[in-house]
Amino acid sequence: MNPAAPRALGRRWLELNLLGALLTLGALAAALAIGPSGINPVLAMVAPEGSPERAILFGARLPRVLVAALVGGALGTGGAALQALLRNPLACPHVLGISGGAALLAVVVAGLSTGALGWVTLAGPGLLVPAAAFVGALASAALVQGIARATGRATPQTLLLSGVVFNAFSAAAITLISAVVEPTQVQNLLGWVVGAIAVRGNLWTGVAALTLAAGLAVLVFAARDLNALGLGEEGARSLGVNVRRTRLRVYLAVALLVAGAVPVSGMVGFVGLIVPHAVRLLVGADHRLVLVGSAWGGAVFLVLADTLARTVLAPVDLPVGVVTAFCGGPFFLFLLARQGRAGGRPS
Amino acid sequence: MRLEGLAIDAAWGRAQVLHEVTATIEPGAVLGIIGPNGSGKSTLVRVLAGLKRPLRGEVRLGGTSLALVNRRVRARQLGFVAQETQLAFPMTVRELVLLGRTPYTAGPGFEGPGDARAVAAALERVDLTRYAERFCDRISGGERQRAVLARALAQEPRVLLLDEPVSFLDLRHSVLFLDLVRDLARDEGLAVAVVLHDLNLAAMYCDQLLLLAQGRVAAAGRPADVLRYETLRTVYGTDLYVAPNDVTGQVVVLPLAREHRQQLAASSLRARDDDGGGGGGSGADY
Repeated sequence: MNPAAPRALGRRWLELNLLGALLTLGALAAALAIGPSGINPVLAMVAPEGSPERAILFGARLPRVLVAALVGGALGTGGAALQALLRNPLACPHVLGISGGAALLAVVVAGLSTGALGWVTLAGPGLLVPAAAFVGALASAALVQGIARATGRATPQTLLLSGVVFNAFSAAAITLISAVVEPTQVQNLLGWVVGAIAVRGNLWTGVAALTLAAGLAVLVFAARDLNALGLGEEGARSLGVNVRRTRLRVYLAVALLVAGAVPVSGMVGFVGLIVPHAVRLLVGADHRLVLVGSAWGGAVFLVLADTLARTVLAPVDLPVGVVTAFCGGPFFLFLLARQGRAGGRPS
Repeated sequence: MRLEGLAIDAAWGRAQVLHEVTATIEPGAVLGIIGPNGSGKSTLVRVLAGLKRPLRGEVRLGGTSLALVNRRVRARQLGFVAQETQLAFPMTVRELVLLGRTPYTAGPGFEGPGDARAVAAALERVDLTRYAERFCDRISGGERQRAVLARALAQEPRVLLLDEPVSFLDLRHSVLFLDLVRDLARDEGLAVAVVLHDLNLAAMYCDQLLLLAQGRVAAAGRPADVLRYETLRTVYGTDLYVAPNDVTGQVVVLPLAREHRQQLAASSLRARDDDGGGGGGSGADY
């Protein structure tokens, strides 16, 4: 069956989800089995209640790999949506500074809310920190859109510039905050800046799962409009697309996705950049496939990356952001060079 | 379905670019919109396509004000083709044409067999069926422009608006494209408006012409009545050779290089001396 025939699209959507679920389950199983403590996962599963093997498998590893999957799914989806909206292959929540804005406001609010006790903890009470991350993400999305509008269109240069400036600003501000927190929290803050999977309670894990579901649901309904935006804003409008509404939906969905991911991972870079490109190679340009594919792909990628981060220098637990940056940095430069070469060519 | 622009004023920012322009696009006919750079041609098609709101005046689609037509309903009746299409991500010809079905499918759904038939018919109409699975950046510029036309045809429109569709095409692909456009009007009764730079193509393919100059209608009517030496020389601000040709009987408009313009000016000056000042040079006499 020819890959782009519309009749096959529904079936391909099912196949893609089946494949994604299988790969994600496989990655989760592998991540559960691998770890510095060298327990046997099969034996641990049948080990008696309260044994150390069970505690490692279900208490430490399981929550962490689940969080990695949720964060990866959110960032992959967000990257795919932003690339489509801004018609720019370099866009992702991290490059655009949306993760940075969310992390900054989350840290400030977490710090302030516990500040009466002298910056004791950065966990923050209840839903305050995810809510702050959501507001921070929305604010930086508004800034990105403002810059894109002020300069006429979202050129790679203006996007890069805005992202670089915003990330540098957020990192500096968080580092400044680290100067006034208790010494035990400094390592924690480094994790926010570089990006590290951190299980900070079931509530925030649950928030990450819910925002992933909600963001994905909003984007699935915008997928056709994102396809039409491939023709440019005018082309999309001539096809009856309400571009302004689509833009609002996408920024809202991305802010939700980022708000769920940031409190449990900080600013993990490059997932939203790499994953959609890999998915597009596999499924083509249709965003009804690219968005869900990027959710599964992001989950698989970050679960594997975090497993590498946990084990490669064991017992040192590397922030996963180090691994994704080592993969993503060269990839980013490759995309930049390719875009520079192709610049202005009608296609 | 008839599309009319009635006394259209339009502006970009503070600069008003259209002044009381009235244009009628009839079913089964091709209206050519011509004029110098900056005369408002592209703005006019965008207003007619509902992509730009006029300052004053009204666009009527089949008698209904276009401003009141739902944007998805509008997209099922009005197809728009731009000068060039930049795709954000690599796309096959079939995927591009499938985008024309956007106004027919709601929400996250997938296209049905009806959509597949419309896409296949549009591809067949522009003779690109064999390239359906090729990527759009792997076909020639002429084929790509036909693919964009097929995307508009997949919308199953009654009105087709084309903004300088052949400006980047070579001679063969230009006439192939315009043959196709004229057939769509003649055979399928589409109302077509096309912005053209090339006055010879305009003379050959259009039933009616609208000549714009500085945002105003300088002339309108049948090509033979619009493409007149004095009118064109004034509007384009340069001397020209205008004469009917032996093959089609329509006028040929030939821009002249400096030495020919000077020669023409000298000869008309001489003619004036001889006749005691009998008018400027007629291009046809040159």
